[in-house]
Amino acid sequence: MWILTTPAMLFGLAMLALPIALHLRGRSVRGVLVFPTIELLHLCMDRHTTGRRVRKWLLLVVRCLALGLWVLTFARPVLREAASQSDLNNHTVWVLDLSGSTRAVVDGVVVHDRLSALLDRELAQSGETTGHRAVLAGVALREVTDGWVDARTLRVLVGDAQPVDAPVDLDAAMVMAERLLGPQSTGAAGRIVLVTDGQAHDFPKFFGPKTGVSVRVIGLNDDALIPDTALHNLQIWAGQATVELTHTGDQSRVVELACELEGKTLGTQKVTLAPGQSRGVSFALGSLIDAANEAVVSVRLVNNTDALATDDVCSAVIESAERPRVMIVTAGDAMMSDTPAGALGRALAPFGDARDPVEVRVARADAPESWPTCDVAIVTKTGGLSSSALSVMRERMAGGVGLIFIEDDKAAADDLQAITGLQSAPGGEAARWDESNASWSDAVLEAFTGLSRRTLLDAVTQPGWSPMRGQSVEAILAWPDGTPAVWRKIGRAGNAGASGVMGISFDPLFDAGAGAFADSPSFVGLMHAMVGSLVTRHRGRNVTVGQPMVFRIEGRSASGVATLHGPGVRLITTRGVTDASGLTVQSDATPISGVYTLRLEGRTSAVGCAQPDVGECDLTRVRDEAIRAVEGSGHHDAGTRDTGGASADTHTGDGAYHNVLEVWPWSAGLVGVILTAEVLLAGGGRRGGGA
Amino acid sequence: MARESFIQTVPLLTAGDLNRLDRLAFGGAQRVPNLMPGEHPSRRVGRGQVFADHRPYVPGDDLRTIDWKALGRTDRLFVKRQEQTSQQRVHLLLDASASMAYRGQDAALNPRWATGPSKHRYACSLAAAVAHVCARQRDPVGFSVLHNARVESWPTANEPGVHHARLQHAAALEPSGRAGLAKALHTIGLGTARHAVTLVISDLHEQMPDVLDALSALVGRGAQWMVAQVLHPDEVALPVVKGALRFVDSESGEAVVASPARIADDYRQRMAQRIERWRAALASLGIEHRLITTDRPVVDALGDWVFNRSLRT
Repeated sequence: MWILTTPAMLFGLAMLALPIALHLRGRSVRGVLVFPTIELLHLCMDRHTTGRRVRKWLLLVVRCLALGLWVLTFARPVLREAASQSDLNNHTVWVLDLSGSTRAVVDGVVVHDRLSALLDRELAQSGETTGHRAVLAGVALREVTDGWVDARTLRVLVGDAQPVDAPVDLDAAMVMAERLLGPQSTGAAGRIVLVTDGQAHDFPKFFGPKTGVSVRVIGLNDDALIPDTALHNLQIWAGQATVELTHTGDQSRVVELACELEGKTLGTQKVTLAPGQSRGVSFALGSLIDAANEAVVSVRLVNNTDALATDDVCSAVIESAERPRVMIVTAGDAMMSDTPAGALGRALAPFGDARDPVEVRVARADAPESWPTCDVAIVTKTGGLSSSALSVMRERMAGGVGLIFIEDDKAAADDLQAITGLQSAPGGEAARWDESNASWSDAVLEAFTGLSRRTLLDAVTQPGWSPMRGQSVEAILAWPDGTPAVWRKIGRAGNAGASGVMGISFDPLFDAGAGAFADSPSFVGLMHAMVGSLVTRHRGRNVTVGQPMVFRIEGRSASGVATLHGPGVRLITTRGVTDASGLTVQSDATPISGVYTLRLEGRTSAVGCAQPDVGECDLTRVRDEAIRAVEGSGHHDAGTRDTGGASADTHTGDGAYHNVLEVWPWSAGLVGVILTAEVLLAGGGRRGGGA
Repeated sequence: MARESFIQTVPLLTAGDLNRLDRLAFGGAQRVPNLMPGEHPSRRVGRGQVFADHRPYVPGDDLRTIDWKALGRTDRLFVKRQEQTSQQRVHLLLDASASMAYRGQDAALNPRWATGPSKHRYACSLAAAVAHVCARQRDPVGFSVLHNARVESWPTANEPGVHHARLQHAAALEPSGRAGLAKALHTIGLGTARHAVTLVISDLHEQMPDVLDALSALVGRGAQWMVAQVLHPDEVALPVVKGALRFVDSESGEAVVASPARIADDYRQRMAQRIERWRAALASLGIEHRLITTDRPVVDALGDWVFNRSLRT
């Protein structure tokens, strides 16, 4: 493909223009002179033109050489194999296909591993050159490097890339790669190496480069066919497994889908697909979903002959467990969204969709018949509960529903005194709302993380200490305002078989209004922990409720350094994802466990969404530390990748595709030089020889 | 109109030129048989300024011719005779063909910078100079202009004013067309007096055999012919110009692209050979040939010519 905008091509055209210009200059006359007679001029020129014959043979040689170079221009793909090693010195953008098809297992080797091994081997062959960038073609295109890096760094940065459960737009990835090579005016002689298994519907699009950039494709599976049916976006929700089925073929077809749970077929469906049709297919899981608990649910196409890829023969894997269902029971006047109950619901489930850690429903206390099925019921203003509501609640308790009471009654001084006896327990004294800091003290959080649970339970179950004695009370915190009536209600609930009963008296919550929840992320975390504890009791398995703490740190040149500690810490930046194990958080007010995310967005000031004390950080330093941590942790397992590479060799033969239409633009310049010489050789005769 | 007015306002000869021309004499190499008195030596003996001889007195002789001193010495009557001088008819043939319009490469490539005269105007100036000298010698001068392949002639006259008017008219003509000199010579030769001197002022860009044939026929009739070959210096040696020029033949319209720098030497040699061939061929016919280039002042060129002729005689 001729791309006239590439610098090399422009240079070549300029060189081609040089002999033409010289030729025209040689032929051009300085002026027209009306001469008395040209008889003698004719005689003189006849004598001089005889000299041209001497140069004819040399001109013939030069012209043959120019034609030979011109032929070599189009024969460049043949010569490219020999020159491939030198090409590695150029800038290279690597495009790694992370589509769902790469999750397929062929001959016992995951396709993605094979592709990664190929990429590693190519990068290893490139030595310590620094002209590398990478584009990960996942659900979204992502460049993992900030500028050109060396091959070693690139291997680290792309090491964590994992395939997604969806097709990807490789064509857009190629466009992005071309853009990363820089504007054509820079003259970068770059190339693009596409690492893909070829299982994409639009794969033929990028067979030809669009801007003259050298494109090399590795990892193609010669046995694979271009798919026309794909499964993606499997979701487990509401007792169903729903998968989107897309058919891009040009013929109608009937496909058979099978839903499996841990390898056991739950059911099959036959679906008729029209050309271009996309539809969702659901399989009922029922009560199996609870029993499954982190089991693998997959939906696949049965007897699909299209290809091996999971894009077509989809085996989407989802680790699923239904979220805890939380019902917030409140008085009628608390149903409005700006009430504390509404604010509490938004705090527990801020997104209102499947991303929330819990499913929240707000129910009217005076309409127990409409209460939904739930795992935990959070009851506010229990004094307003009617007898019928309490009856329904007791009925629900029989089903193992956990209860959380939030009360602000200040009437009972005895119970207040009894509860304040908690202060004598270890750690209990500090278990109070810190008015000055508007946050829960560390002791409260420690209590709910089990550090002093035993002591707490011993304290609250002492005889004469509380009407809750002997009940299945998990914890009672800061209960300065509880009333005997409330305790009786709680006691009855516990006796009714509730999985657990918790109570919170939170005056500032109600006094401060709805905004108190939003301003108290620690309180939200506390509520998540309470719900998780109750649901664990209810479902009989460990259920962790809570959003990962998201540190949204923005700013490139800040003074502070944010570090994280704890297992499984991952660093998520806009430039890529990498494992950041070993980093520590400097201002962690809470013990860190589980997955923490450091998300770097934008380049403005620092904002701590869940942890405001993290402060600003030096992104470059954080990233470098993360890279070093990854390298030190051995997460980038070259040995495993090498094994995949060997398998790739036997399976695909590492077939590298070379674009047969690629033109070597510099040869045009050489041809121009040759033609220039030709014109110079012929110029004397022409100028002397005249028209 | 502008050109004509310009030419009419610019004299062909300046006052200084005229003063210098007063010291020149122009005429043919042969004695003039005419009877009209003039300054040219005649074949006849009669009244004149230069003593020729004595002869015995015979009745009827004019008594004023008797040499009285000889009578006193010899007591015989002798009549003293003087060489008689007479007029010489001069005819000037001006070549006004297109090739005579050349003014040099500067004029062609940079018209604004052109200052030199064209060959035609130079020829007219040369004719004016000759006419002035002839008028001072009381020689009648006739003119013919070969213009656009036609010959326009004026009869001989002996008045400078007439000469001036005719030459101004000739100078106002725009040189054009092919010369056809051979045919013109034949036409003119039939109309001129037998012993007249005919001066051809031309660049001689003609076919040599045709011209020589015409001249040979005319020379046999007793007329005297002279040829002044007027060339621009660019014609003698090609102009020094870098690169190629498209040369267009002024008369045929043919064109050729050539680099003067490459062929200058060859051209100069060929032109010299050509001129020499003309000279030799004309000399064989008894015709005097004079090469005059337009880079020399007319008076100087004419003076050199006259001086060289005097040395030869």
